[in-house]
Amino acid sequence: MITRHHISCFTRVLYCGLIVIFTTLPALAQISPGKLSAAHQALEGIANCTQCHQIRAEVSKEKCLTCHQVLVARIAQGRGYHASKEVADGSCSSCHREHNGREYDLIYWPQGIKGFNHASTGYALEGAHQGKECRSCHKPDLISASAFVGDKTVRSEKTFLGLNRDCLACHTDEHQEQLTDRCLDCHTETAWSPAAKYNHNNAKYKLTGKHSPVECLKCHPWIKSNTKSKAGLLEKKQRLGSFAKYQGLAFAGCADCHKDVHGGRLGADCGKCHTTEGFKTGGSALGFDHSRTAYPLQGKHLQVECKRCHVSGDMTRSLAHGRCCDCHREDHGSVFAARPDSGKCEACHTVEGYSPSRYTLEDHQRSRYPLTGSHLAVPCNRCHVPIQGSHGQQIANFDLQYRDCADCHKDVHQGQVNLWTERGGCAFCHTTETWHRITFDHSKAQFQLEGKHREILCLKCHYIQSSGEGKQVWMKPLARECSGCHKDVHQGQFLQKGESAILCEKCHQAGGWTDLKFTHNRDSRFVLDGAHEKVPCRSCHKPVAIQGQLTNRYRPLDSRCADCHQQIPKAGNK
Amino acid sequence: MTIKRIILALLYLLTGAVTLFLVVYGGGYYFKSLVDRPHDNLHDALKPGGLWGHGLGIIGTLLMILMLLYLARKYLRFMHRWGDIGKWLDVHIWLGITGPILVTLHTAFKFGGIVSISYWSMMAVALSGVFGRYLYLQIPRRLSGEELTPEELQERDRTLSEQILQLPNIAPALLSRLQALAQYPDPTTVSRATGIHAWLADSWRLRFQLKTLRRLLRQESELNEYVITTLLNTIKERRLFNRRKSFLHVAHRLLHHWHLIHRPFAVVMFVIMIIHVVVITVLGYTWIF
Repeated sequence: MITRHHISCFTRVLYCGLIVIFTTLPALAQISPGKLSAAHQALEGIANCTQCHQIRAEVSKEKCLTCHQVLVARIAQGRGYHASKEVADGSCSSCHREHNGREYDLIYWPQGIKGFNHASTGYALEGAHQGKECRSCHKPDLISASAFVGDKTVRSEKTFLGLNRDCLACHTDEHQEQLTDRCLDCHTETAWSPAAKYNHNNAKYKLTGKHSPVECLKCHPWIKSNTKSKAGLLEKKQRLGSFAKYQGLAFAGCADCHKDVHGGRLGADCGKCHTTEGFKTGGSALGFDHSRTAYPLQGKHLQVECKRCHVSGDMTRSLAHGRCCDCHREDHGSVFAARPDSGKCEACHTVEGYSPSRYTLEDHQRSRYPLTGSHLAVPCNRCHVPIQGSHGQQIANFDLQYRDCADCHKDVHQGQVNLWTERGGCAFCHTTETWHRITFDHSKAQFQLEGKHREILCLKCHYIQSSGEGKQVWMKPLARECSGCHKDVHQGQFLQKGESAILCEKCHQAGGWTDLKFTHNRDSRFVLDGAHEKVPCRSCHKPVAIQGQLTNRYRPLDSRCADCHQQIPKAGNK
Repeated sequence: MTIKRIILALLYLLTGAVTLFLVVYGGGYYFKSLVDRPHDNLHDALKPGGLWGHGLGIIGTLLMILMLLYLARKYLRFMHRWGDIGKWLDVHIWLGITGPILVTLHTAFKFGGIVSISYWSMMAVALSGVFGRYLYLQIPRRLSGEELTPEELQERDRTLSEQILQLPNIAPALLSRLQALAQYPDPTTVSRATGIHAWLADSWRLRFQLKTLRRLLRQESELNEYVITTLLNTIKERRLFNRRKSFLHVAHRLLHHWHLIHRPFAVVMFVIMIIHVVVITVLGYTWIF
């Protein structure tokens, strides 16, 4: 019989059954602690637990690698991040944590994807690689599918594996197989251009001189490409469809690259004249035979740097060379323009040097001013004194006025003899033989030279006088009186009253001091006669001191006998 | 305060401290999204399979298993002499609170899979336990926890009546009001639905009525505060006794049906929990062992 207790027990069992059924039905699909990530969702379900979980051993690395075969090979080879020290000893689940839902990304970057230490993969990012977005390299186009053969877990759009480390695996072969695939032998990861590690001196053709800074493309021109670039890389080059030529370039001769601006006139061996230091600066000093040109170099011209004449730097440019002044500066102006040869430089100068001039004395004698006398011994520059030329330089002055001596010489007489020079110039008195040989005819002067005056030097009378302008010969006014030149040795004894000067000529004459015309009996008031005629003058004209000077007494002299004879004894015979 | 209350207080204090520590310590982790948690430094410790998380799960599970001792004490005859059933219930309740807290922290608030059924069953058991505890209190019992017999009910009723009659001198009008408050309406005079509603609402109503009486006694009597409190406690006890006696039959019926919910959920919880423990143990998650 069904009792109330039986109903109660049935009710409880029914409750339990319903609760278990309604609560477990939705969960039959899984017993896991959470949904797997999208990558592993195929492993969802109770039957798949042991696909990852090891019985009594939690999640084992070996279970993971059972599927992820590509990692097995890489770890065995010590390649990639999973073989690095950072993760080599850890379990997979310590990084790739599961049962966190479909949205959970199994690849977690603790410092962000940008903070990942790429060096731990064995491939350190350097240079321009550092700033790149990860997926700019780790993208399906560049990932090699052959790297994942046998591993179905890898999806090229998600994986970071499968990239070849060779540069050309990602980058286009810009050189189109002309060079090796060891790009880093020449380029750096910082920038493609310039190829910082490339040394052209390791090539067959070494760069020297001006060749070094030349842009590569000057010699290695763009040529059309026969192949296509990798998609997504170097779009510009791809569009151009061209590449620089590095193979098959002729470089045996300069003309392989350079145009022969001489038109073959100077031969094919450019190195005879030029170096790589510069086409225009190679220089004749290196052996260029200038004699093969229309203007052979001679003398000093052989030592001149090319660019002194070829100032434009263009050695092949034709230069005017008919006249010296085509290159050289005209220092003399038009001074010699009146010459028959119009003043050609070579009339005086040679290519052996500007100085000395080959203009000789004979040439000068044929000039408008032949040299005579002392002028023959005068150095040129005493007359042709340096002046400042039109270009500011010091040049000899050939524009001389030589009509008068004063054009060159200074008038030492300071105009005292203009009376004469106006008549005949300096030559009225002087010649070019010597300054001191005066040809002046003193008889034409107001003071005639006579007697001793003709024998003495001019300067005895025309003495040098120092003035503010220096020494000069004193020409005038000279006093014509004797006292103008001579000293009055008589101390004024003969100065007459009413006269300003002593009339020496009354006693003396030009024949000499002692050439007296004085006659005692005629010219004095005391007549000598008798014994007086034989008495020496000094017996009467005895020396006396006048004004402190000892001189003979002539006047006044007493004419009485006692004045002279006072010492005659009284018993004498007079 | 009895030793029993002190021990219980210490146990709940322990529960509160552990909970507070774990919430504060692991708050940053627990409040993160499920996607972000694996990247937290505390993940390895606080995840369900982590050192701390796994330990919490094991301890919580053990506490839940210990709850079954209450059933054993209740139904196994040889254990009937092992202390008062009320103390066993107090410990049972503490285990029913602490265990789910630890298990919740063990889950790290990540609920999914079949084991989540165990978790939600556990929560159903725990919450129904709170209601069961309420029903349990609505049935008059001895101090040892056993239910009062009808004779004991009558004796208790008489004792409380005498206590009220021994009240000090109080104005007749006020005294009659006190005695009226101690009574409870006869449930047979109202419908079942109205009666249950009145029963549930009586606890709140009584609280305000006692407060009003306390104010009146202060104003209209010369009783001191101690006497007033003792008087009101007696009034309240008699009122509750009368109410529980009036609804004793209803309480018995509700408690019967409560068992039909509380126990099946507990069974489901334990069954799936055992599956969960077996599976993770087989898969090698043996914590520190």
